[in-house]
Order: sequence, then C-alpha cells, then structure tokens
Amino acid sequence: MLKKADIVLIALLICASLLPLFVFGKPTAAVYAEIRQDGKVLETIELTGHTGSREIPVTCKHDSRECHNLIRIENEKIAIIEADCPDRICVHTGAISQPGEVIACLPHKLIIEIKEH
Amino acid sequence: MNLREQLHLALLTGISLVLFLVEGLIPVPFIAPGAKLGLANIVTVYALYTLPRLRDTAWLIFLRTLLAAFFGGGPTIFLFSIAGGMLSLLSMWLLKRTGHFSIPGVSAAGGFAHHLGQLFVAAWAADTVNLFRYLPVLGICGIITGLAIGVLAAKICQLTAHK
Repeated sequence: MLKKADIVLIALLICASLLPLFVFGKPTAAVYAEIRQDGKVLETIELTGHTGSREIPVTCKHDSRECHNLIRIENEKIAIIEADCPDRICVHTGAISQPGEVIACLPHKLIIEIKEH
Repeated sequence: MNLREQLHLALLTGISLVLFLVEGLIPVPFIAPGAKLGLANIVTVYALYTLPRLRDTAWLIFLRTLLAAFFGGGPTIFLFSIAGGMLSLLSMWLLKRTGHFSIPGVSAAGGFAHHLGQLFVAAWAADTVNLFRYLPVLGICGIITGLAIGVLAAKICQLTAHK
C-alpha cells in the first residue's frame, strides 16, 4: 500500500520530529522551577539541592468559577498532583526536573517551567 | 453547496463527532501531553479524498471541533484542536495534490502536522518554546497514528468507491 515516496516522506517527518533534540541540547547548571499564572510569576523554587516535600495550592478565577491546582515538590522534582481542569493533562504529565521541561495547565493558564541559572 | 452535499457533510460531521466521543471512553496509556488516537480523523481523511472541495473538509473539521468543545473540551481545547486540524488539513491537501503519495502516507503527515499545529498554539499560549521538547514523542506518535488512520480511511474509500 505504501509507495516509495511515502517511505521518504515518513523518514523526513521522523527527522523533523527529532530536530528539537539537537536544537535544545543538554544543559547542566543548577535549576529552579518557575510557576507562572496568566503570564505572572507566582513563585520560583530552587530545585537543585531541594530536599523533603512541600505542597503549593494554586487557585484562579476562570469563567467566574474557582479553579484549583495542587503543586507538589518532592526533593528535586516538581509535579501537579491535583487539578480540576477538564483534560488534566498537567497531572498526567507527571514530575519534571530537567531544565526546559514544562508542565502546562492551559485551561487555567498555569505553567511550571524548569529553568537554569 | 446544494442540499445533498449539506446533508452529506452533516452526516460525516455526526459520524466524526461520535468517533471523537467514543475515543474518549477508551482508556489509552498516557504517552505525552496531547497524544491520542484521533479516530475522528478517519472521517477527515475520507472527506479529503471524497468531497469535491477543500473547504467542505475544512467545514467538517470546524464543525466537529466546535461541537467537541461543547461536549467537554472547552475554549482552550478548541483553540488547540482547530489549529492542529487546519494545519493538518492544509498539509494533507498539498501532499495529496502532488499525486506522489498514498492515503496512509498523506495521513501520516497529517498526524504529524496536527501535533505541530497544537504545539505552536501551546508554545504561544504558554509563552515558551520549550514545549517543542515534546515534538520528538508527539511527532512520532502522530506519524504512527496517522498511518493507522490512513490505512483505515483508504479501506473505507475503496469500499465506498463504486457508489
């Protein structure tokens, strides 16, 4: 069913998919997590050397109803562990710790991004 | 668009929406944010190959995405889906016009473009290009699901061709 042109096309698409691996590279400096909502930085947390666990509840007003996310920092990882958004993609994304990784709860305009100094 | 074409479009939109809703009921392992089977796109690919004009398929995608948003996606999800859907349609249409590719090949590119479109909107909404780090996983998921969707759509086109 597949023609030769299809195989070439698919190979090109796979290469295009892998492009970000080369563009972003692998950084190593100390990292922190930046929690932003609606473009404003709510909090920055040093992740490198962080021990123990801590939970941060975040609430927002969205279409005149309250919305909630619960952020949890455990050692050097950060995750959203509870959310009442419709898709809960942020919760499914799991814990992140590497620079450049992002957890996004777009319905609530909540972004957690790992950055390096 | 005459009445016959309108009805055809309405039927396809309905089938597509049902596939979208049914897919929501199937538990699939979470691979990456936004990755899914995209069963509704069987209808999209079928429409691209059988409806006379590009804008007919564009209407199909727009209506299905809009209705899907009412059924529990919400405005944010609508924005992603429409960006992915339209970029996907445009790239599939261009590839189809060249005449060099089979339906599964075109559909694989469509799956890839769908995720690319979503990532552009997500990167814009989240204000960080770092979201493109998900492209290796999402792009390849899109290619695989796109291929599978394309094989099914090709089969359906083949079965309905004599009518």
